[in-house]
Amino acid sequence: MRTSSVPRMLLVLLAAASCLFTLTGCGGESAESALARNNETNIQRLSSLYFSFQMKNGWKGPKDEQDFKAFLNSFSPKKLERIGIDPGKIDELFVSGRDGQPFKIRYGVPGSAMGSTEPVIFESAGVEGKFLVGFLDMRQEELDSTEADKLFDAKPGAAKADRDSARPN
Amino acid sequence: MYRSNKKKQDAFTLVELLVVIAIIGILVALLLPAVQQAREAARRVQCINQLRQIGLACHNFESANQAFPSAGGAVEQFLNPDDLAQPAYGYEGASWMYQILPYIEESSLHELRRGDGNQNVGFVDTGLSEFSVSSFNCPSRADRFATIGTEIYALGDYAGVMASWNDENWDGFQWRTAAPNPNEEDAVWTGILAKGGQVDTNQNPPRVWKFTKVRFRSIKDGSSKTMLAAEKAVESNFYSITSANPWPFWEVYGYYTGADWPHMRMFGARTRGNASPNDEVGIRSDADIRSTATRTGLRPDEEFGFGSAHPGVIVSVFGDASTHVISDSADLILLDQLGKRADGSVVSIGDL
Repeated sequence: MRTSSVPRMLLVLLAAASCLFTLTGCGGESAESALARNNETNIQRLSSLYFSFQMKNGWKGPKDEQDFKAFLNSFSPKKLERIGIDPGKIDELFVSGRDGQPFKIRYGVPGSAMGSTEPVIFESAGVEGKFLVGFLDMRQEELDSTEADKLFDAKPGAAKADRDSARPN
Repeated sequence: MYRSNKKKQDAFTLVELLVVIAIIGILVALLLPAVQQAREAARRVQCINQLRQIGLACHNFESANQAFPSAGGAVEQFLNPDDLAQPAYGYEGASWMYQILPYIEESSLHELRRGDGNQNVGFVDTGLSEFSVSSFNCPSRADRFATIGTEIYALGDYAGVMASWNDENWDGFQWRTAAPNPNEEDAVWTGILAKGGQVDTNQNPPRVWKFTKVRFRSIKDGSSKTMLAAEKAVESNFYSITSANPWPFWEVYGYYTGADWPHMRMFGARTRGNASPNDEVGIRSDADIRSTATRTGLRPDEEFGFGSAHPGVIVSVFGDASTHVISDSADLILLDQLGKRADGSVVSIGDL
């Protein structure tokens, strides 16, 4: 009886401790883990890095793959590592983990300090007729080929200029 | 049989354990609210103390520079390559929070902006924008940050006071590196923490507008009767911001962003009557979940005003570094007037 009651007591104590932690609000997500969660896949990472390129280049997008890769090779290795990128394997970043094919990238898309909703990273082969598209506002959407092609071929919109449009003019 | 009975006496039975746990549960249930209230009271005192330190830091800044810290420049200037390492246009583009760092014993953080003088300069590349400063965060709110793209931005809890957008002649403020908005200096930046200036980098050479610095003598309404800063509104669901959709412009890019919503707010009083195009920007509790808000024309999650995690009140610091706890139902017009340094209103904290 004693040997079985001790683990039972431990279980009870653990359960009570969990309740207390919940009540006192311990266990919030750290900034690093939130950042990692937003950059789990290559399409997320490339979209984030596209935004970083714009931020450091007067809100202009990379003009081609060479331009983008040159930027990534000069990017802080520490910052690359914390979003799960091996700084020595930049080329692997340009391949989709889902379809195993290189991404199609919309180059030259302008951005803004107020963010952007432009799509920039596209799967080239897709999975079961669906293509994952990465946007600059950290969204990803699965689209069919017609929708994806339409977005890829669209002329980039003007950089965002207004935000609190509700304010009086 | 004998051996079995003895063993049974050595161990707790399940019923005994359940009774003990139930008693502990009842005691916790009775004590927890009292403990939480005591902790909240302590956190509020700490919050008041922090705002007082901010007030004193602004005074020390004024003594050293013959002017109060400015609210900074346009938000786009925050990432302008020309003045990443230091101000390039004759006025400081970073926020008042950045400017007072040396006066709250954070000189090393202040200097971090200069980086290595090569590519690693500015607020983002040096990692400066990621550092939390305890003096800038209310202890009742958790560690606050935003993660956008590849970056982390520490978020603050206090804001200076700008004019209400329902005031006459309010025509907004410029966030880009372009010419200032009409009336901007006179109609928007009416508080003690006012915008430092504006630069138009589309011209060569860039055209610069330096706004008038605020000194003690500029506070014609009296420093003890003008609010310097207070707790800003933050919905409890957005203590941490991990999405850029929709763009959280009222928090990004954190502490050091120039004169903008992350550290400058308004009381939004309806000074133009019911014909005003916007609802008032009332004081909002963190516990008020914005999705149920009914403000017309505004997304419910956007924040332009003041608010607090402390139930029923916000904490503020005035121009004389005195701190005041203000009811969240205080008159917005009086608060708007208290935020202006020279509007001629005869209002004091006692009128609230």
